[in-house]
Amino acid sequence: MEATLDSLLLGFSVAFRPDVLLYAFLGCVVGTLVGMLPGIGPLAGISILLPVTFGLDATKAIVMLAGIYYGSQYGGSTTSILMRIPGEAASVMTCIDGYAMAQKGRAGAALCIAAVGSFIAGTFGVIALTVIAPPLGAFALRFGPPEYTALLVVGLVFLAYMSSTSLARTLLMASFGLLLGCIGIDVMTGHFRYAFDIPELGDGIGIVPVAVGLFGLGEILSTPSHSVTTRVAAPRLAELLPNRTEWRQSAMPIARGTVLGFLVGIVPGSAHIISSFLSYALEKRISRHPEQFGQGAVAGVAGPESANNAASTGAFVPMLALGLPTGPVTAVLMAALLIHGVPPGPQLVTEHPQVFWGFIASMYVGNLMLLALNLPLVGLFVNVLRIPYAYLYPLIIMFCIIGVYEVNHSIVDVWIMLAMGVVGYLLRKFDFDPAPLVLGLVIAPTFEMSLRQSLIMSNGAWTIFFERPIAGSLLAVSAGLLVLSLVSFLLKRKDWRDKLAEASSAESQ
Amino acid sequence: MTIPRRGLLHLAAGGAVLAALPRRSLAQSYPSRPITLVVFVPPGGAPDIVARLIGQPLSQRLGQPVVIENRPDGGGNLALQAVARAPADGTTLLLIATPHAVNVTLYEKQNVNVLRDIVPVASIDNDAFTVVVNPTLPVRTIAELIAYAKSNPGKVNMGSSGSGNLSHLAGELFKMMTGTEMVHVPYRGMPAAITALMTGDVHVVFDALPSSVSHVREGKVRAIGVTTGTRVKALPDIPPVAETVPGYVVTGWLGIGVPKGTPADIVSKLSKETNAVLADPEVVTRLANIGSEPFATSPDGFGRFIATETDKWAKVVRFANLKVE
Amino acid sequence: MILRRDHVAGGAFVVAAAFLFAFSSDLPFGTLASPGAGMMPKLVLVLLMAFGTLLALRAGESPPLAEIAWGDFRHAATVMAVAAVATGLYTVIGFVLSVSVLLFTLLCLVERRPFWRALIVSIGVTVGSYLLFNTLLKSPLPPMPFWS
Repeated sequence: MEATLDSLLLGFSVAFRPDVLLYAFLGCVVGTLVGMLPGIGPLAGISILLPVTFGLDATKAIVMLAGIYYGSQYGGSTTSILMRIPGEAASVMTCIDGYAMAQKGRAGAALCIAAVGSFIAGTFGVIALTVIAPPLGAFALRFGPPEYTALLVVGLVFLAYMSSTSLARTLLMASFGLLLGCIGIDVMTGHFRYAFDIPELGDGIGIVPVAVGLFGLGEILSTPSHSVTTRVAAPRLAELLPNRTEWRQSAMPIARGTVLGFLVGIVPGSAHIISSFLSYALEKRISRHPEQFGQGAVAGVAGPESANNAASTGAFVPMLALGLPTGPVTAVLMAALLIHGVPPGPQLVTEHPQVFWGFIASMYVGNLMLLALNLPLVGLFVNVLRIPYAYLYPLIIMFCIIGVYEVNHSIVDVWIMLAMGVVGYLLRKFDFDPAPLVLGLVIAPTFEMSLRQSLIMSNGAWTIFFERPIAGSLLAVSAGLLVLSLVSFLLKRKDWRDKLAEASSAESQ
Repeated sequence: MTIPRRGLLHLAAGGAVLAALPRRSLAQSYPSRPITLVVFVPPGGAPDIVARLIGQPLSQRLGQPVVIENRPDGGGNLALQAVARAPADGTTLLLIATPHAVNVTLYEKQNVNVLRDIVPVASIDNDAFTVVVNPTLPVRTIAELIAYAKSNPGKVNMGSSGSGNLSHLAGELFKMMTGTEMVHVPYRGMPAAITALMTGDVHVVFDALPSSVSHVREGKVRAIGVTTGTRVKALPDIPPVAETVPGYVVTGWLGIGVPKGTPADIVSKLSKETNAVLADPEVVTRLANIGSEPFATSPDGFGRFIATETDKWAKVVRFANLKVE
Repeated sequence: MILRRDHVAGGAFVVAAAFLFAFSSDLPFGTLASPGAGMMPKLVLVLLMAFGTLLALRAGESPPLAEIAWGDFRHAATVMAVAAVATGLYTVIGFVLSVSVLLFTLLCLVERRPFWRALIVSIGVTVGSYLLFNTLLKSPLPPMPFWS
């Protein structure tokens, strides 16, 4: 413990040097911008700025690039809340209640809660990282295909709790998402599935065009400008900040989201996006007012935002402890470290303590900076809403097209986005919730791959899922959840029917 | 500091654009506009990183910014198509790589072909693969691996980063040349395959050198062979597979190409500048840090290299009966 | 029987899934020990049909089809059409032209904003974004083809 404190002090002494601070700040600003633009994600930002770091030393380089990474989380929530456009896939859940809060005039509060929640989650993540990285790393290594399958089954079961609409509709949407995820070349056999001879569909439908189209475009299409009558008055400072009730309502969700997100994030290769879905479902399940979800529940913003920030911090655990990237972003960060002659992995701590601890300390400093950056900007962002809607939504469409195109320089992605916009419009008309669709799409590739690999490994024996301890316990959890949900469903139905009977008998009197 | 220089470059680029407007670019004034280097993987993929590593010094030498444009998907074919259709004036470059040579046979229905539609300019690197096994496996040399696989047919799992990827094809070439049977288990991406190797879910992986070097050094996996003809600097104690299996050579290579019809003097200027970049000691160090070595050739030499590679992989694709339908 | 919203929704999914199922007959299902490319899609399609049927059967709780508000349809269709045209032209005539057309059409023709204001905003925002992306973010947007 002594040694850790000493090292942390070393780290902070590095992180607080003015030039290091400058680069951290630069990274955070670029990250926020990149996160706000729909489509372009931190990956593009980091890659583009990579050559710029060649002239810098390793610490400054990694501090700046990492700043882009978690800066984009903050930026992504901004567009989600203000315009219901997920700046990146992880912000999809924030779109739902965050935007609803904005429509009730509580945009400032939502932005603040998102920023503060992300900050707390990021800080916790950094502390956890420092203290328990190595043993966690070993645990994460025990995840094989059956464990992934089981984890994703848990995710799908949690879906059942997300239904503000009926269970059947939610599962229908999730299946639709799973189907969309099957489009593309099958990695294991080379078959083209549902690609209709369009080569761009080879790697499947991207999450970004779907999320942006479903949520952002779907919203715009359903809102003819003459119906936007809410005049957003210039907010006073007091209105920008969350009031006491809102703070109280966000405290526990932030805590839960942080822990949940961090745990999901440390699993190598897991889709961090599911952390925000899981948190949303959890909050909804244990909330005393589940009907508020979708109408602007504070927990629906606080939980997912904290979860996805904690998950992105947790993603550094396998990278630092094992030298294993958890996804494309950590892969680039590792490559950046390599280029600067600092091989990531267990020796990083011992051979390059300056870089390691400087990096950790700068994560803390970076989170602080982002909080300081975002809170004052809340007023500025809310003023964006005051642009007359008729001018605003064409601009939004433009940015969506730009952002989605920039990801792969593929116009097919833009067509997918437009198509999903139409789909989103129709889904709204028929009262379907698009969030499970995105979850299904995200989960599909990993789920299918893990499932098939598990079956290949065990030669077709289903029991492999129960023989391995982690997989078995995860499946037990999902079974338990299903049972609970069924029980409460039956109970509620009874309640609901009684209430309806009372109401109708009251009316008829 | 590179930042103000970039700004100056952009001003220069802008001025050059205006000046070049009414005329077609002539070779003497090449390059007079920013150059696009089309990369076939998303940002952050290993080839993308090398491209950015090379692109920056190259833009300084050429006096024009080299902008990386990522066009992933299609196993490299989308990038190929984009460049094949671009004007042949040296402003659009393709990052050519081994998959493009493989695709000539793998994708039967493609209407673009790296041999036919692209003029090779210069190669960049030519990286070895390593044969890594789980440390608990009682196999320490390639010969032992062959013996083990022959005595346990169908039980040795070989992981790869995806069906049709080089890690898969390297294994298929090995199987073809040694007559062993190994079960191919594809994963999504190399990190997943390496994780599976560490946990013992698969027994052997043919991994690109840059990616496996750190794991080998930490002892998490055991390297029993490298796939180049000679030993590599990064792992000098590991013998080449070719010592046990004569003629077995697998490399992941990268290079630059331009659309067919590009004037010869533009090609030679690009080639000269790229080779100069590859000789720069700073570039060599950075490449070495990610486990790569520069590989400089002439345009014709590179062209012959690509043709040889295409033939070699054609045999493997047919042997493994791989098809993308 | 009144045609209710969920009848249509559920029914549409069932029909579409059945159609796709027939369409994917060339994807092998495989066995449990070696699952094929068709296993997951077919399972998911079956799920879709099941849930669609469930939805249609319980349609009694949903409002009648006629009650869906289609008032915003014209607006939505127009916006979609304009966006589609702009997307189609995006790589052909370059970013600046196609997006200016997009913005101008939406502002002036659909939203009936004053002509000059719409024009200035369209062109100004477009050129501004083009410069921003080109210089600051170093990822240039599609240029006009006759610029070469």
